[in-house]
Amino acid sequence: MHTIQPEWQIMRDRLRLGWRGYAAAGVYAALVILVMLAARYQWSIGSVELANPYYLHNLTLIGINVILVASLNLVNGYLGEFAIGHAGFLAVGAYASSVVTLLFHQSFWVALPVGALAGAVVGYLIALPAFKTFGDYLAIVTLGFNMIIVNIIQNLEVIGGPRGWGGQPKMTSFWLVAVVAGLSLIILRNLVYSNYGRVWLAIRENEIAAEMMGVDVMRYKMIAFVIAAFFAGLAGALWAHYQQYIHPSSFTYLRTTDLLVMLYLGGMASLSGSVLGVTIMTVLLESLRGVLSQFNLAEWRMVISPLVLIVIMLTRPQGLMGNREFAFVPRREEVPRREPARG
Amino acid sequence: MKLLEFLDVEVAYGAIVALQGVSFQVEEGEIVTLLGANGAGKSTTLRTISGLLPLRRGEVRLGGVDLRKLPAHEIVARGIAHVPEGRGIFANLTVQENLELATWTRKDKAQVAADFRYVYELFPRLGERRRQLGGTLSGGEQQMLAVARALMTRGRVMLLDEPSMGLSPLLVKEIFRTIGEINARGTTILLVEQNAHMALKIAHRGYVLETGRVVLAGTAAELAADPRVKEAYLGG
Repeated sequence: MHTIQPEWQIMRDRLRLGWRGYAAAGVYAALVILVMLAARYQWSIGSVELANPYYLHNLTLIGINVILVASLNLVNGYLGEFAIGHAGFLAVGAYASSVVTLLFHQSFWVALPVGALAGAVVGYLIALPAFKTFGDYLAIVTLGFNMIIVNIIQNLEVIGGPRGWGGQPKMTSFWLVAVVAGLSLIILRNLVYSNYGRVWLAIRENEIAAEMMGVDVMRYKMIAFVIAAFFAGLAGALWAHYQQYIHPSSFTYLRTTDLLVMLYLGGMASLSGSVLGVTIMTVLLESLRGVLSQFNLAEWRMVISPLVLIVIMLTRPQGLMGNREFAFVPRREEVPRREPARG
Repeated sequence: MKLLEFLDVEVAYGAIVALQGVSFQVEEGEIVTLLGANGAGKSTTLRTISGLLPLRRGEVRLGGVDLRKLPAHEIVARGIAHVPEGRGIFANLTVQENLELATWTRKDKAQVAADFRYVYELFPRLGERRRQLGGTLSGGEQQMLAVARALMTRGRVMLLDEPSMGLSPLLVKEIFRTIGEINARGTTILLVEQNAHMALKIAHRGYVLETGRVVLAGTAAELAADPRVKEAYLGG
């Protein structure tokens, strides 16, 4: 780690999970298979179906949001910047992948990586001007980008314009989202615990000191941003081919705000926090749908998420898991890496 | 041989001119100290060398290479090791990781391993605490880590900004002893210090800055004997 490693060694080290990581991945895979079996054979307890389509739908949305929030955490949590244009990259991925399937009539398996790469490319183009600024200014630049993207889409008739765009083949299923979300988490975790992750933390802690260590700060910020945009694009491609209809209004800064609420609830710089935040918010909002409508308060549902945000900021500003991980995500010290020479 | 040259440099923060044509030089192997009151421009000088501040006029050269146009991280790679004021420890990285980060730009693997042994030998406390997070160290240990980290970049010139700040007299002595040792092993040092007494003890030469100008220059012995220095910085 204190030396420049050959690229293949870095890649190999990044793929290592440690036994806890493999155990967690195994449990995760088992759960996914269980849910799928329950859905396939309509297992039920009494009259309650264990995995009805409604549950599967919500689990799928959770999976997509996990990809979004965990990747946003890279920039807002680990790197410590404040970017608020994540829904813009979601839009780029959704529309780019739809262009591939609907306009070029190519397979979804082409569209999926194209959506992710489109997110990354646009992310790079945004990062160029955006990281000339920092703090509040970076927030404004990314917010501006989010609005511009939505406006461009609304004015492009060929991709549906303000009416939205439908007819994507239904290629995204629960199992695909489960697999992609799981792989995304593994990749993000390995990144966070790699040299890149340490540099991001260092930049967050003290940008000038990082620069004084010879770190090209701008470059590492851009890498984090582009990776986050890549995953947002990936999520967009999944989403477009799940809903089979996309509309510019789904990608406004309001969507970004939803993601931020989940991120802050779960906690900055914590991947397990991101999963937790997404799950809690989704389940909360869904269960409130039923509860509130019983009291004729259905329209109050949307007040809940800003309210949650306010309560977190007042009572637990670091979020539920801020800077910590569940034990099944191996801590940094346990990540296998070559021991430097001892003195 | 002139290692670091600072020629007629003018630096301004907006309308406020912090350095008004400052010139000095550091020879290879020397310890040179910059003395002066708050706001004299000492830290500004170091930050200018490191590329954190733009020059309005003048030149900065390291071993004859013009540093002015280089971004800060490349200046580090050319051999400037800056220990910033307030230490700038990465609180959420371990001691070992703090040090590893400093080897980021280096390609000489074998030498890096040797340097790890060297700094842990120089600062045994850091060796004991290498798995501990930087933020959990005491002030003195953090200062040691900051110096060790700068050593790991293997700079030719180490810029030290107020290494004694906030430390107990015992620790100040310890730090200065280490600075002397680092110098004896071949690292050139440019030291900015409020503690003129200690600084003049270990330095070979010194410059006194006042409101952005060099007002006095000389060997450490000459400066220590100068009545103006005695009155202003050595407490009579």
